[in-house]
Order: sequence, then C-alpha cells, then structure tokens
Amino acid sequence: MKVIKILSVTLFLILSACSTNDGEKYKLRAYEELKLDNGLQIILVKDSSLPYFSMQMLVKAGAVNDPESKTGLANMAAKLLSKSTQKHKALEIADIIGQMGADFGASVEDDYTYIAASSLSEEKTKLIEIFSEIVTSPTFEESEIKRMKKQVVSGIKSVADSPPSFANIIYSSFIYGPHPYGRNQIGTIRDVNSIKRKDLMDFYEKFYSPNNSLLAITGDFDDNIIQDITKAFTGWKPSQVPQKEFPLFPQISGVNIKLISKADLAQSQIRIGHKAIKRTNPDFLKLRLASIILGGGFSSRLMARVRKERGLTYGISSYFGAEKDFGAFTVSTFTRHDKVGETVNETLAVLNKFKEDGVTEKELNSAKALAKGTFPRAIETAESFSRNLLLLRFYNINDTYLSDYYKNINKITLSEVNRAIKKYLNPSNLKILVYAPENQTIDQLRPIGLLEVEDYKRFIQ
Amino acid sequence: MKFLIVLVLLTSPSLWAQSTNKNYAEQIRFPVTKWKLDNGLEILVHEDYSTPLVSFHQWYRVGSRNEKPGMTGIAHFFEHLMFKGTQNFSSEDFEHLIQSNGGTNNAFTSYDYTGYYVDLPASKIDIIFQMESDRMTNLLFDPVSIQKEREVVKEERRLRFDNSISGSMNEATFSSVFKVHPYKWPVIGFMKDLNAITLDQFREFYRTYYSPNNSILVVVGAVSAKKIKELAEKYYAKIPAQKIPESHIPEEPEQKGQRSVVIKKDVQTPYFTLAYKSVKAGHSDQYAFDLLSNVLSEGPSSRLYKRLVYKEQLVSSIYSYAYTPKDPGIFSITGAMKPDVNLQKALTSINSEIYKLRTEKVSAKELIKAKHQVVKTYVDALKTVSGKARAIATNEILFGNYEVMFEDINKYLSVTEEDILRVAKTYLQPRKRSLIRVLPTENNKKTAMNNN
Repeated sequence: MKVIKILSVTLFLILSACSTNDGEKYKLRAYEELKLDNGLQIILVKDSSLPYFSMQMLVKAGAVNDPESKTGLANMAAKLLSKSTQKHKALEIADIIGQMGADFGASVEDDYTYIAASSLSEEKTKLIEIFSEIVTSPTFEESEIKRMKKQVVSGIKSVADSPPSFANIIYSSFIYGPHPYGRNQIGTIRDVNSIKRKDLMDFYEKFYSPNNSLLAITGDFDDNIIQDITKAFTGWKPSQVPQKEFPLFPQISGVNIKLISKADLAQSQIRIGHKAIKRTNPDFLKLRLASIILGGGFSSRLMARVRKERGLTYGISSYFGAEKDFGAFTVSTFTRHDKVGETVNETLAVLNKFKEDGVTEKELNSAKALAKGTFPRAIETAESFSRNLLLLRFYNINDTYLSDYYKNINKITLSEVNRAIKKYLNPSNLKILVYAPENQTIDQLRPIGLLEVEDYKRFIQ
Repeated sequence: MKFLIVLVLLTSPSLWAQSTNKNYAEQIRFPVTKWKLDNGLEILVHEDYSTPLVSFHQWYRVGSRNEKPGMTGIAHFFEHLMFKGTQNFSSEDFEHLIQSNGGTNNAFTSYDYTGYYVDLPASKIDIIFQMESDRMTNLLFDPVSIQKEREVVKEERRLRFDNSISGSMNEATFSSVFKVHPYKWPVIGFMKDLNAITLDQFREFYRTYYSPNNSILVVVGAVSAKKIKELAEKYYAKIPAQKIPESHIPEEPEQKGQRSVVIKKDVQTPYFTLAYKSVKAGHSDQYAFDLLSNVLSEGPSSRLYKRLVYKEQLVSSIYSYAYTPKDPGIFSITGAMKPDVNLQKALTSINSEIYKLRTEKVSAKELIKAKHQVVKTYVDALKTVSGKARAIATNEILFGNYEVMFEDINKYLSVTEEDILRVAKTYLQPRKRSLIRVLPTENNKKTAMNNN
C-alpha cells in the first residue's frame, strides 16, 4: 500500500501588528497529514503528555442524506455499526471495547456522521483493530435492526419528556420546513419502522467509503502508527458518492408564531429565528462577533435586557448557524407562562435596535477579545484540535482559519460588522416557536404575529 | 519504559493490579505549589505552559449543607448576588472587564462548597485577582437588583427541577434517602424559601462564610507560582480572617425499611430511580463503590446494559452512580423505560442483578475492566488546564489535601473482588432502599395505548 504524505507542518501563529500583549502569541500543535491510495485522508496529531490514544472519523453523510420517507436512516446506520461485523456480534464488540476501558460512539449530524473512540495508549493496537473492523465491515444483522428500531422509537418518544430538546426539534422543523435540515435527525416513528436491511446496506455502501471519510489519530504513539493504520484500512473499498443538492431555504414573511401546546409544562420554551448563512460565507467571523455582542455570554445585549433588567429568564442566547447549506439564526430562551408575551416582545425590541443602531466600538473590541481569548480553549486538547481540522476539511475551509484566526479577527472593522448585521438580521420576517400550555399563553401571543396552534403529540408519530 | 510491562501482564489479572499501580499514578502526577497566607487563604498553583491560558478558581467551604429550613437555596441564590457588583466594580464593569480581557467566567454551588471560576489569557491574570479579592469583602446589596435576581433564580429552578423529569426525580431521591441531614433539600432550594429570603439574611450569610480562611484559590496555566505569590500578597493579604461558626450537622439515622415515592406527570414513558445511602468522600469503601457502579452500568458491556437494554429490551437507558460528597451520599440506579413495558419487569431484573452482586464475587476480568475505565476517566479529566484546576480544587476542598487525587488511583487499583462483594452486602440492602417512580398520568396512558 502506497501512502502519500500530503504535508507535515508546524504552524506558528504570529503576533499581528496592532496587538502587543503576550496573550496573542499562540502556537498551533504540529500535525501530519497522509492519504491512503483508497482515498482515506488521515491527520496525525501526536500528544505524549498523557497516556491516551484516540481516533475520530468524519463520514461525509448525515441526516440530510436520508431518502424521503426514510428519515432516521443515517442515524440507524451509525448506531448499528458496532452491533454486528463480519467477525463479531454486538456483545462481543461491547466486551472488547469495555475490557480496554475504552469508549466508542457514533452520532449523526445534519451534514455528517462523527465516529470516535479512545483508550489508554497501551491499548492502541487493539483500538485500531476494532475501530476499523466496526467502520469497514458492519453486517447489519436483522435481529439487531429490529432491536435498534425499538431503541430509536423509545428515543423519539422520550425526547418529548425533555422540554428544551423537544422545543429544538420542533423549531427546526418549523424554521426549515421541507428542507432536510428540518428533519428530526433520529427520524419519525413511521419512517424508522419502515427501514429495511437493504436500505441500510445501500446507505452504507454509498456513503461509508474511504474516499468519503476523514480520519484523525491523536495521543501517545510512535512512527509505527502509520503502518498500523494503513494495514487496518487498506481493504476498505472506495465508492462513487452521489452529490447532495439542497432545496431552497423556505421564505419567511412577517412574524409567524407556532404555539405547541402541552398542558402540564412548568415553564415555556421560546425559539426565535430565520435564515442565516453557509459555513463558507466570508462574513462568518463578522457574524460570530455580532453574535457574541447580541447573545453570547453574560454581558450580551439580550442577557442585559431580558435577564438582568427584566428578570424574565435564567438564560437567553443567540447564534448565527452556519452549515454546509444555510444555517439558521436562532435566539433561545425560556420563561414563566405569564411572561411569554413580554419575553418575546423584549427580545424583538433588542433585535430591532441591534439591526437599527448596530454595535459600538467598545462592544466590538470586547467581543474580539472574547473570541481571541476563548480560541486557545477551542483547540486546547489534541482531540479538539484535530476535530477542528476534520471539520475545516469537510467544509472546504483552509487551515489558515486557525493559523490566522487572531489576525482575521483583529482586522474586522466596526462598519463591516454593522453592515453584516444589517444584511443578515431580519427581525420583521421571522418565525417564533413557543412550547407551552395553550390556555395560559395564547392571548399573549396573538397580538405579536400570525399564530397557529398544534398539540405536541403530532411530533411524536 | 515501565509502561510496556503493563501490556504483557494483562493476561495475568492478579499480577496486573499489583504491579502497575505505580505507573498510572506517576503518569498522571503533576507538581503543585501550595502555601497559606497569614489570613488563612490557601493557594495552589500548577504551572502549565501548554496553552497561553490560566484557569482561576476561588472556592468557598459553604454550600446548602450550611442552610437552615426556611432558608433553603440561600447558598446558591447568594452565589448569583456575587455577580451584582461591589463598591469598586459595578455588575456591568465586572462582566465587561472579564470579557474585554478575553475571559469567560461562571460559578456553581453544591451541597458542600461554592466555586467561582474564570478562564482567561495568562497575561490578563492581574485583573481577576483584583476583582475576585474585591468581591470577597466589598459586595453591594441592592434591593432592586436582588428582587430581579429572585425571579432569575426561580426560572433556574423551573428549568432544572419543576420542568425537568431528571430534576424532579433527583429532588425526590434526596428527600427520600435523607430525612434529617441537610442533603434532604435541593441545592437550588424550595420555591417558597426563594420567595422569602431577606436582604438581611443575605448580608448575614456573606459576613459568616465569605472570608479568606474559608476559601481556597487554585490557579493552573501559563503563569509562575512566583507571580501568583506577588498577586496574592498584593490583593488578598489585607483581607482579615474571621471566625467561622462550627456547623452542627445532624447525622442521618439508619434507614429501617424501603421508601417509595410516585410522581405523576404527562410523560411518554415511566422513569425510575433506585437509591441507597453511600459513603462519604475518601471513605475506604468509596473506591469499591465506584468500581461496583462501573461493573453495573458503565458502557454497553456492563451488566445492566447487557441485560435490560440489550437482551430483555426493557429500558432505553440505565445508569448508576456512587455520589460521595463530604458526608455520606447516595448510590443510585436510574432508568427510562421503553414505551409500553411494565416497570415492574425492569425492577425485577435489577433486583436480581443486585442480588448477584451481594452473593457472588465479580469476575477478575470485570474488575480489571472497571479499573481500566476509572484510570481512563482520570486521564480524560486532566487534558485541559480547567480540568486540572477543578481536580486540584475538589480534592483540596474536600480533604484539605490535593495529593489525594494522585493517591486515589492506587486505591482504586488495589480494590479486590472481595471488597466489592462486601460493599454490595453492606450498602445495597433491600430495606435501605428508596424507589422513586415517575408515572404517566391516567389521561396520557390511555392516549399512548391508543396510538400503538
């Protein structure tokens, strides 16, 4: 097996001209990058500070790749990987992983599937072996599919017992409509029950292939690792991967409210939002700074107004979502039932003022300091650093996003941020999801916008 | 290369336990400089230049254990007031100075202690010394902002307890296991007390518990102990010590019969917790208790997962936890039923697994697995500067000795199969148990059946 070495780099982040303090000097970890000739791209980050070893894989297929009326397929496939392989049955795999003191998990996002395992470094050979076996040779046994369906259906139902998570799921479907980002990633009960072994095999063969995956290896290892990894993944066959076309983000006009009613809730959940941007949008960092000022952290505008001044909530946050396709701008909060109308109105007032007046130089400087101050923590461990590298490759963004982070933050100007806010924030056309008892909240919501009411049970079918 | 030996010995379980103890403890060990100011403030520093950050933790030896009935929740409510400004820094100044220096901060309150922490660029360490020492003595009590914060805290209670299944079960579990000890009320406090706590009570609470001799300060990151010494002298040395009242906390009497709580809610499926009293932190049985818990429920290879989730398909999730705070805590097993499965079936299976633990030794292989898992958890917790700071602070505040965290690993590794059997026999007795169930209201039960 031939291995192509792509690059071996140590990036240094240099002080930008306008900054003078030590806090801005930062060195990224060294990493190596290889490509096997079956197309599997591998990142190696060595870290001998503690005796651990970890593997992270990103497969470029997620819930958006579920066929119509087979929602939850990507999730089922991911969860079933470790339940039967050509060599082992479910409990044998569990024992192999458990005995090492290791952990293994596979989870599905909208755009991709993330598979991770880690162990003590003395177990690395065994971990590579079982990880590659799980990823490259799952068999999707009928008995395991049946079992997993029951497990997933339990999950779909019981998420309704957690109000914040349930509100998030309904909000997604409200804001994205028929766009695949609106799907419950674990599927609907009807769809999950209809999934057949053939669906899973087809999905696996189409999307789980070396040329559609990225692998990061981190921890305490030596040079032999390349040989071990190559050997473990060499038999994995490449595939033709179909390209995903996204439908349009649904148009929103005016203020649309959906009240999802459940009588015995002790608190109302509120989500407010509209269309945001793609991850590759050049305004990404500008909106990140805007978002810190609007709703990121204790001193944000929303926290100051809705929590501190009004005592309406314990927490309120906002962010501009950015995915492969358009993400959503979202404000999340919660309050007591009799304050739902006031909380929504206060929030909208903050959004309107934010769009109208923009941010101040003082706010922007403070947001920049926070973005830079928290940056080293986002890539502090070798694992979080390599996870960032995986995601950058997935979104086709250059690693200079990390190496030039301070420089790029520093050069953003006040007028650029305020232009971005004007362009992407739209408080007059948005959707509001309220998860609350109908009889205690409906009169407060009617004056705010166009209102529809539904029972929560519709979302657990 | 001591570490390679481990691999060879793995096939020989009894040897493994004895011969590798030292390796792990040494591999995770890191140096800590510790000293005490004249006013009693203990300071602990670990220099770590792997990232240009510091994690700063100021923890106080006060929690809901120090509360009285009628004033439950005051320790946590007061923690919120620590962000409401001082004579020198307004609340807005405080938050702005942290953010504009690139820091993030928060705080937490537990039964036994209260912690305030900031993660920020190492070069900005001075400002946090100035502000954190300032709010140890100069806090303002503004009736208007306290009134607003009261509503905020009540929303927090609704979020975490009244509107949360796990929160409701947790509150019921502690109030069932503890009848006398202050652990019987939740750290967040009861709603009626949150409405009633007065400004004077807050002032008294602050005066009583917030002093240098009732606190520890932990700094981990890219800063020298020498620099921390200078800053500590400059900002903290002048704060006087004060007498901390002795706490008279009643001991929980032995439980004589099983207790049961039923909570009715509009849930999709039943939930349950089985709870027993456990031991206090540092008790010699704590280590066997944690390993026992791993054998029962850590990951898909554990006994309860294999039986109840996988083979019998009764529950969708199940986990256990030995919570060992300053005084004896609880050991609990919590699960969510799969829809339309009788809860009694799950309880029967759990009972038989507990009976097995009380009558048969765990296998050598299971014990090794549990030990591996514990060591891995240790390693994972120490990967960040804030993780290291939390580990130092927790051990120092509980035991007055951070070294415990390094010594503990050997204690875990020397636990035997007999120890686990003895712990199961002693603590997991049916008559010392509480059963908490969250059951669907009748209305929902019918609809759920019609839908299926």
